[in-house]
Amino acid sequence: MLRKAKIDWELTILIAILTLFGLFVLRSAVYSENIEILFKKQIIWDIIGFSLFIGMIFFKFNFLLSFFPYLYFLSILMLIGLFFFGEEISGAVRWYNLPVGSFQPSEFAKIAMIGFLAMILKTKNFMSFIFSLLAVVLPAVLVIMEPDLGTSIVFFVIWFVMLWVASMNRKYLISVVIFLSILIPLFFFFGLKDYQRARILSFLNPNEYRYDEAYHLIQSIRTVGSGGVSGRGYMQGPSNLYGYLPADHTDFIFAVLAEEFGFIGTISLIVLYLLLFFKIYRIFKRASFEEQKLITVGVFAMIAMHSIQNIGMNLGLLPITGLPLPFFTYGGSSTIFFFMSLGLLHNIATSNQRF
Amino acid sequence: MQNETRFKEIRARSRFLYFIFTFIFIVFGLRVIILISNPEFEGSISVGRVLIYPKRGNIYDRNGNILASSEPVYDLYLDVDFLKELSSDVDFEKRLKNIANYFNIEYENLRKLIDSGEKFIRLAYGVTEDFVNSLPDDFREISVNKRYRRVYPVSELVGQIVGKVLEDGSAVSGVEKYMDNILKPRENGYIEYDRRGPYRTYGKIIKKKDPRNGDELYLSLDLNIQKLIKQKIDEAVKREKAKGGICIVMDTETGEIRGLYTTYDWNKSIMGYFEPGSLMKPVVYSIAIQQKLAFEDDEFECDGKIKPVEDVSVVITDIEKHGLQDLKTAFSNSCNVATVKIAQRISEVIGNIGYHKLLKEFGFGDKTGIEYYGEIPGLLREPSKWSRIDFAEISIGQGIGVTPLQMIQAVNTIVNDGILVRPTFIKGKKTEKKRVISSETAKFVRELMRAVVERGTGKLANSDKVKIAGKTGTAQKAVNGVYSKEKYYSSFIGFFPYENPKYTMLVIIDEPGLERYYGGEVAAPVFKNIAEAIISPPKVENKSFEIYKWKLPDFTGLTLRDVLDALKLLKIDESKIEIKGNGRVVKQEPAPGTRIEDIDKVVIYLSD
Repeated sequence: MLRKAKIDWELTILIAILTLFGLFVLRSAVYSENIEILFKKQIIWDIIGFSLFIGMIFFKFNFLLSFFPYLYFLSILMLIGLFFFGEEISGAVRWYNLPVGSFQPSEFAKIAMIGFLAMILKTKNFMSFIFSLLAVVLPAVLVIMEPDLGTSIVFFVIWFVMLWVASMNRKYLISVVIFLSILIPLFFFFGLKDYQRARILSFLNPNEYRYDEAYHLIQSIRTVGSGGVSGRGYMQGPSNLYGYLPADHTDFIFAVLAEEFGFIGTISLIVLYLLLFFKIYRIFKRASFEEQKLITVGVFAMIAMHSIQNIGMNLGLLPITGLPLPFFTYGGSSTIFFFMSLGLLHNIATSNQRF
Repeated sequence: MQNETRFKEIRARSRFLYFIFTFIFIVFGLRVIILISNPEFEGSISVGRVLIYPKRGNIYDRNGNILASSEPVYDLYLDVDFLKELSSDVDFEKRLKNIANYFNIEYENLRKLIDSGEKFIRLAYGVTEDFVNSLPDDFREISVNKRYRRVYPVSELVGQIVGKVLEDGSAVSGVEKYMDNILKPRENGYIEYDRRGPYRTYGKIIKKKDPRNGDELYLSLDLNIQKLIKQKIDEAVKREKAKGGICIVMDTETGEIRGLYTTYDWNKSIMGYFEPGSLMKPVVYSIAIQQKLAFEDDEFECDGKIKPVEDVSVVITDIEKHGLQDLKTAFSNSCNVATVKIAQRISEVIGNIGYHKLLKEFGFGDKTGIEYYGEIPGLLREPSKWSRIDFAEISIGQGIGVTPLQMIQAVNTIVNDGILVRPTFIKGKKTEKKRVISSETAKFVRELMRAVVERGTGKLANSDKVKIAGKTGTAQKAVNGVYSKEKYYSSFIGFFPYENPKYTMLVIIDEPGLERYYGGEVAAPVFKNIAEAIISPPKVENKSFEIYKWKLPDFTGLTLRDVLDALKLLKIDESKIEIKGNGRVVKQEPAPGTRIEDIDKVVIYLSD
């Protein structure tokens, strides 16, 4: 159950820098709105998450892996439970209201699904393909019903990436692609709510929707653009200070960074993410079991998907969905489960140590 | 083997994945570069800024009446570039002609200015808000600049004291200039709003900062007293066919100037000096008595003339032979011979240097330091430059230049029990105080001054309404270095009420044109008139006031008891009422007619 392990300093320091960088920007984002309590709460989430990230290396990998089926079913139960006990915030039921803060089961479900899929996809046959499909459709559909379109897409992306890397029979992959290319247009016209469709359209033509759906998008682009090379200075970005930027401590925190630190700030963030990706890729290469490789790919896909989607929307390249930017966006559930995911990678990275 | 192939494939695909993710992030980096190098975005947030100009602080009298305030006025400019943007070539001329017509400007002149490259052309200067509002709507090319102009609602009463601020906002005279650092507007305020951007979105106000106005200033002046002395001095100057008149009323204890008026077009009471003549005598007597050089039971023989120094041929004369007089009689007769005899003692015992020093202690030869730009120190020559008879000349108020303000400051020292207080124009200011003579000396000299009014040269100042004490002065004016027999300053300096002095006052009538010219004849009755008016309680009309249940009545002139009864009737809670002073109501806040429901607090100012 337990094992001896040495901390992987490369990964740990990288994560620590990203976490501190994130707190630093968050401080400015919440400062202007008198919600500095969120900054203090985030420090607590970060401490808890970081402890998990370190603590998970002292468990044997297989011991951790054996939990995932249970965790997966627990996460499904929690998603179902939302229909009965969830709290409604601006029309969506995504959270449980707990005394310490809101808990978002979909964040939990992502990591639970990654581990569960890794176990399923180890076997390469039709049944495991169908199993994996069921394993993703179940949580994804529950999340769509919250409704949270963005997160449910993340489930599918993670699944598809894992399926692809796992070298399943090409027929399955091709059929998935064909199926999706039929389903997506149908879904766009018949499955989406009006506001969701409007968001996507507004992204394609921001000027036309500038007073409504694209307002956030335009403000974000302007904010990033006005940052210049070196930015407006810490806690001095006018968009941030004067409430121009909506959701600046969650969805649009990247724009805060860009406004206050300019190109220097954004390029630092990009470099840190690229270093993290490179590190994850190395962990992947060194991983010895297939489950380890698949989990690494799943976590990689999840982190990359979140950061790409979030930054892409801040830069006006992708439609707006409420996906958090790992290490930067305020949030208890997302923070803790990002750290847990990275803790799994940390465990994998330290699996083949010699003493 | 199969495993190894699969692992290779897994690795290849994950490498591909890694490259895709990396590539996307590099695209992001490029996107940021594109965004920041787009000039439209540069500073696209927080651009528009409208300045709000700060106001100069108002000046009030001690009761809160406005003496100087700042009202908004507008300057109108033609924004040439905007006009060009708004109009086609044909239209341009038409629009320009319209503007020229509206503002009564020659079209050709306007055209010339535009052709010479002017971007902003002033069309109107300092117009009212009503004028701006009446501009036709399509004059969009006109830009409006708001600023403040100084307004003096009672300048005929207090103009000389308050001074002046020019159109450009610079203070040039009086209190305005002296207190400029307090009054002047401090810092522009502004409104920042979002204006530009690649997609023009809302013009939202993002920041507002109020301007920092200048501080308000409450002067020591009492507009009622000011009105009164202006009326009485103007009357007297007219009646006596005089060249001018000056009056200063000072609060004895605090040095606050309650009223100061001159008929000249400049403030002669602070910026000009005169030879005070006999007004000097209270000071000279104070010095002699304090130095134990003159006593109550001294006697002086006056045969109408005296040589101050035996071997100098200058003779100082009196109008008449006063014969043998005691000290009090000599003073009340304003006897020059007796004064010269006293001055001889001063000169012998303490010398010119000592005498000069004591005169300085009374404030002669130095500015009083009043808050007024342009005050002069008068003229008190250094003792080394005194001639051999100057000690005597100065003692009868000749050969010394004194500003009226210095004069009242010196005599007020005696009235204020021997303590000199600096005069001030600022309400409630704690000015410098210093003891110059003892309380006993001061009290005795006040008795002498009372005798002047009771039985001496100042009998015409004797009032049955208020006990006045003082000293007359009749100073020959020097014309081309020779004392004139026709031109005099007739003056009276004194205080009232005698037992418990509250006001010290100086009245000067410059060159009375009729037969009479003595201070006791010309200035003393004016002094008495003003003193009686100041001291008599304000006329209380027995007004019956109607109480509307929803309006605050006018309380002025009522007693506190009446006011409290009325407020009770109006159901205004006692905690909301604040009372200041004693006596009858002189002022109230808020103003009469205010709706009861709008009232947070009622302040009742009583007469004292």
